[in-house]
Amino acid sequence: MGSINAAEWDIMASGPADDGFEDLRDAFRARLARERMHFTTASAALAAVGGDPASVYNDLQERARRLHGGAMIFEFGEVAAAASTLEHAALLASTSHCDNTDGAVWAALIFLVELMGRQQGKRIRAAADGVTSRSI
Amino acid sequence: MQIDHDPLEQSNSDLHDTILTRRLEESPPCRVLVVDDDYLVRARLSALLRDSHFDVEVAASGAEALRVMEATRCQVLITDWQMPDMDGLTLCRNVRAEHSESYVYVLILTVCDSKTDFLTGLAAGADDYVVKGAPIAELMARLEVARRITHVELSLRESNRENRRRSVTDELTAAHNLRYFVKHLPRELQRSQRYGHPLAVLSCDIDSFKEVNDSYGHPAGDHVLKAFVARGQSCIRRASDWLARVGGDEFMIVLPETRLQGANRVAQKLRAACAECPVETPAGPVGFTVSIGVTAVDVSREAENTSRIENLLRAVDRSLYASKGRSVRTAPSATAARPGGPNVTGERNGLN
Repeated sequence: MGSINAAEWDIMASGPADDGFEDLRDAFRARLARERMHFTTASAALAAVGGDPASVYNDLQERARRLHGGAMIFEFGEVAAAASTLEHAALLASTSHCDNTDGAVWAALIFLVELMGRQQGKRIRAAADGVTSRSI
Repeated sequence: MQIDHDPLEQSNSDLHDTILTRRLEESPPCRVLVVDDDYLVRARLSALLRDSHFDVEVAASGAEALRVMEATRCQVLITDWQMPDMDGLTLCRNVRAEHSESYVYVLILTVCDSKTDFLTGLAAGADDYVVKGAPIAELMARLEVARRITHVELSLRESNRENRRRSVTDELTAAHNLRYFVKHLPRELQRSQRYGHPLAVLSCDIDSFKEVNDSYGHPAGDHVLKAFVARGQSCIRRASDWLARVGGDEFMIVLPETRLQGANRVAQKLRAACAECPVETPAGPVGFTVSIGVTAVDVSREAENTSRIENLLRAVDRSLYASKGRSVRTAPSATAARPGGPNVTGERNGLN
């Protein structure tokens, strides 16, 4: 293949007009609603756990990790960052054998649930400033 | 209600398709396996890849990815890192340990963005490492690199295969060459000895070949050699027997699972096929005959392989010489007219 000049790359980078991204993004947004419910349930489980909360922390970590990756792909940057924070907090709490009152986990969990609540039903436009690139 | 389309957006879309089509017309096919436990991520990547004229397979886990790769050759693997069942690094290590014939280009696509993570990923055998959230242009540019590299690897592999084939193939006749004969005859003999199965060898020499070259020219001689190989191939079993050119006009035919009687029949058939009709050459039709020595291995003997090979070759040479001798006594004049040319026949003779 020959080299591709900058102008051609800009056009290629923008992707075709209709590549199904918005449909997939809508599907991800719908998933956010389901995940929010799950995290809400998990918070109740964490609050109620009597013994070792490790399994709850592990579940939070796994869920948050998956949410982090998907949010990065579908351009939900704030959600991605919040999910990453929860993921790391839950991992630390689990490995440190914390009880169910770990402050970092609770703070990250509450913030993430509230953030996902704000995302529900919103259409987030792509960034302005003439940026045509999409993230993966 | 009519919906107005932005003409610029439409124009860019058409141009995008044109550019891709033009650039990718010369690209070799490239199949990408996308591995991620999130189906939406798999869908997104698949759409991007198909749009860029990649063939796409998907898997939801490392274990599933290995199953897909076992069934379908994929040149590129894009894998998430953290997945249940088998993570991306373990998958990468498994792919590298596989030592398959073709190289798989591995790109890790993950949220893990520290320098340590990056180095860990490469140390596991990945060729590239991209953090989720990077621009599309970056991912697609890296995948074009992957496409180029896998294409180069394919070209090299095919070139190596061709070189290996040429190293054991006679360029003129496409028969096996002396190198192949020297390598494979001992194996045939060893197999014959190990399992007590018969093995026969024919030593073939085109009669008065030098005179053919002198009378009709070397191009005609080349046609005669090719004709011998073609007629020889038609007399043997393709699945097991093989023919090698071991000298200018000398050929060996190895017949596994064949006793002396069967070898004599093959020799008779081959001599008849050679003498049956002349060969069309640039110098006109040229007839030729062949002398054949026949020998079969006595698997009951206890001699070592090397000496047996020597014995085998000595025996078949003696047989050929005897055949030539009888041919000389019965040969017509060397000035025999066309189309017959040298018209001698060698009687079969076998030693056991």
